[in-house]
Amino acid sequence: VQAVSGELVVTPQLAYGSTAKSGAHGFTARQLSRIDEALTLSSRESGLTFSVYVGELAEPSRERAYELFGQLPATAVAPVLVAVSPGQRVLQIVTGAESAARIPNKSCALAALSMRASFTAGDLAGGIVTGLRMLSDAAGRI
Amino acid sequence: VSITETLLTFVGAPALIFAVISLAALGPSQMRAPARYRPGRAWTHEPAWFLPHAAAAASTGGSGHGEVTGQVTGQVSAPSGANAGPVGGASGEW
Repeated sequence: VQAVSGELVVTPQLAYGSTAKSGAHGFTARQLSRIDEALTLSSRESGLTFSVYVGELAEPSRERAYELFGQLPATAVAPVLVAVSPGQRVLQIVTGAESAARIPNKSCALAALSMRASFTAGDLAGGIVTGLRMLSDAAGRI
Repeated sequence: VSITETLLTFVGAPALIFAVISLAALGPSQMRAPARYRPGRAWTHEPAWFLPHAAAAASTGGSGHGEVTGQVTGQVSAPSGANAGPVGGASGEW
């Protein structure tokens, strides 16, 4: 993902392993593969499409998260966006019509709470993985 | 044989070998690892956006969601049934 002339270009595949430029994202290759595994597993088990954004969120961050949610590919089934801005210390979870039917806001708030706990301790990847697991548990299996 | 020599042979030498091997094993990865995130510090890395692998999404069954390929530019796509717009969620700060 790179900002190209003010617009975000989504590279939908997660690059990991030795080829990943781990420094660019701020994650180690190992952390990237943990996030990848959590994304893949939670999406497969719940049938929802989880998506994780890590980076700056322009203010107001909630509206920016909505914008990003709208930019998800239309092929994504029942998308759920987890947007984390470590610099601003803000996290946003956005659900759409289909995913909100499976994950009530109360469960999103619970996931956000435990993500916060990890982030406060400085564990970004761990918090993201925990959040994804909790969201997919809340959604249940297909 | 003096006590100093004994100590150097049986404590100093193993310690040296241990240190060299640990450095060789841990050093390179420590050098490559990005700085650990600390709450309150600025986040200077590039934004990253992750989606599950296409194979995982495709294996969930259903129709109309083939392989996610190529790149999607930043325009908001026309609302479809699956991705009509944000409805709920949660926010948090730390």
